[in-house]
Amino acid sequence: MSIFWRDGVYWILLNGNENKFHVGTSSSTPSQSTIFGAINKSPAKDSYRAGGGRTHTVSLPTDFKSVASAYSATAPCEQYFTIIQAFSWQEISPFQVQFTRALVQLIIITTLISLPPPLIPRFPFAALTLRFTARTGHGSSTKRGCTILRQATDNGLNAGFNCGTRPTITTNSPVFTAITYNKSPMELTLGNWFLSFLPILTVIVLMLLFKWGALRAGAMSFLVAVAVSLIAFGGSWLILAWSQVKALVLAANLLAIIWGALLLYSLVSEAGSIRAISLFIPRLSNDRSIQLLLIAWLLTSFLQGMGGFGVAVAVGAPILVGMGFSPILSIVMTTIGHGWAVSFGGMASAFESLIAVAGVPGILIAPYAAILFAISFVPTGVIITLLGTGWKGVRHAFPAILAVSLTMGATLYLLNVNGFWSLSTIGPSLVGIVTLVLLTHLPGYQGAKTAIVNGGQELNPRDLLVHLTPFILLVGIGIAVAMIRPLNAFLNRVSFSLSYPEIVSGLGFVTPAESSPVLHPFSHPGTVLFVTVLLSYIVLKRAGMLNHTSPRRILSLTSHNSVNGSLGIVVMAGVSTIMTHVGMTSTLARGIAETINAVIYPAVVPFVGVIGAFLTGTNNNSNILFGALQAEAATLLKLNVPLILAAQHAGGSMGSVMSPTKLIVACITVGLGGQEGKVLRKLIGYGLIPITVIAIATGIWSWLLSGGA
Amino acid sequence: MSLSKESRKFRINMLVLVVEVLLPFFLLYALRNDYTILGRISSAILVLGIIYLVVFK
Repeated sequence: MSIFWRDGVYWILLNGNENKFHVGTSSSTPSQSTIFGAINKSPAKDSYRAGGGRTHTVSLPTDFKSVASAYSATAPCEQYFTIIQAFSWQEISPFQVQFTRALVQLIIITTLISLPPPLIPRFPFAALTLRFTARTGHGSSTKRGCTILRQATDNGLNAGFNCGTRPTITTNSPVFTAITYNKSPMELTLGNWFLSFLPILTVIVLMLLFKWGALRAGAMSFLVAVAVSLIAFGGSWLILAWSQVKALVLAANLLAIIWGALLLYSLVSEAGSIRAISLFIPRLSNDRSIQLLLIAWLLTSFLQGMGGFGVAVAVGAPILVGMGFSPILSIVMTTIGHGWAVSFGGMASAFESLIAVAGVPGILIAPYAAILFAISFVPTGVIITLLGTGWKGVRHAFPAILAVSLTMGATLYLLNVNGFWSLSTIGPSLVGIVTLVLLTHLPGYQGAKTAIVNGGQELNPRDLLVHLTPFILLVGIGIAVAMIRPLNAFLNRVSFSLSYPEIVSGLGFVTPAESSPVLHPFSHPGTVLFVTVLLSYIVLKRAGMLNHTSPRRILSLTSHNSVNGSLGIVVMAGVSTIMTHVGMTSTLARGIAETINAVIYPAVVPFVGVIGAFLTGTNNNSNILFGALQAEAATLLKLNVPLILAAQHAGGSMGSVMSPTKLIVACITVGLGGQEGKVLRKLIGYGLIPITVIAIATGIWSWLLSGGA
Repeated sequence: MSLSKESRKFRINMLVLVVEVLLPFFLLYALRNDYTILGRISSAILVLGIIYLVVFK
């Protein structure tokens, strides 16, 4: 591509098989000024002529820097020019040098030769103005392919580009320096990769070395990401602004779910439902191994599905302590037991965030996730039984573990492939509980009578049903909204979506124009939760389990539990979107793709998810931080993207339960406050086993999908 | 009645959350209507909110 001056205007000349070009400013919305067109180079020497067609002009804001780029019709080759300033060489007489004011109008002559006419109306046309400031001095050339535009003469057009040479000035007209870039404006160097990694490294260092909280470390990471993007990746306040708009849309979707789930948890906690259910479950069997599996594995998973936020261990661990297990073992067993359930707990908010950042439909990822988690069920059950009752207990309970794993896995898979992942923790947990309860009727699992030390509270069936009402309503409303098509269609009539323009960084990294995910407010999982809360409140109030001061306590508990977590999500979403829009995520992914080969990488993915969740405390934030990166790396390595994302999700789920923030809550509930390190040392060895199983499964599966290459 | 330290901290955090959630709407309005100054001010306030979380948490 060439840019040259003639008769007071600048021409853009396309060469060879380039058939379109784009001119825009680096700090405006280029979609207003995008033009595609072509000018054929005439075979005559020094003679360029438009090949016919229409003349179009486009207006741009009066910004100093402009980016022009040409796209090839055939080869995946692009060239970018940044027209940064006009200046006069020393040979030009000073009084012709324009120092500060705008110089010229650029009229772009386009000849739409290769593009069919129907494409023309897509592009807006207006007067194009590029303002340049002239000054004396040399133009700076950077990177490879430095290009200096030669001045056009009066009689002919003299355009050419030579690397590193100064032009011969034949007239007094200003000369421009154009800097060319390769197709990927950001070269992959160790420096660029390290700068891209800096926001993530910030979180790691601040949390591990300086013991900062997740929110504060995330906020610092945000500032680092902004600074790096402005200094080294061509960011601007416009890019920051658009990325934060997108981050809000992403975060708002999640916050609605989280606030609804927390409200429900606060409601059932206030009504005493959690305690009542937790005391009832152990009484379903007298076999110690079965009780262990019921509490440490299935009850905790069910509670995680209902709301999460540490309640699983906070409820399950004290029950196990009451059964005679040591506090450390109680925390370890309940933590490992509900690791899988984080993935789709809380109406699958973590999974929704993965879908949002990676841009891959959930229906593609969900089946892979279901199978990966199903594979981890048997090791999870074995570990819990081993820790609680030894190898003898494992041999005794293994058939039950196998049966429960099969039924839970089948339920999980069926729910996921049909798009009901918001119920993919509660559903399988309930099925697992029913399976295990049925197994207790078998002669081998009836066990000797054992006393539940902290239990013994009688619960009549009516009260139990009332306590279970919120969960029954949640499942019922969720299924009704999703499965009853007329209802679903009616609720989906109201929808919102935002359109975003194309965003180009100062270095030419392009984020294409796109639309936000369509939001259906009346069928949103958050709305389902809020409706469940309202109906449950009415039922529980009429049953006498709530009093007139309960609403205030419920709202207070909800807000206190949600503020920091909500801020964390907003901040992490901001980090992720900034990194994505200036090319930092892309640079990271390219570095990983060129360093780790395609055979090993799938097995590494779950551990990346673990690291993200361990540091940030939630599967949600791990997915937001790494989801886009994993998708891009998988694409570059030509791997199955949904499988890689499912592995990231699985690692994040299981890693989040081992995070320091969750451990603090767990230790407090069993009187081990301040001994989180001791617990973590016991936990991490066993906790990594299911993750390793998933990693191996991912690696083998990916290898098989790639045809064994 | 003076607020306890935790209560004051909670209220400020809630305020920061409300600002961080509402501000992008102003940003969107500014971006759509080319209100450069409003956009820059909104972006600056957003960053200041994050700085607060770092300095005062």
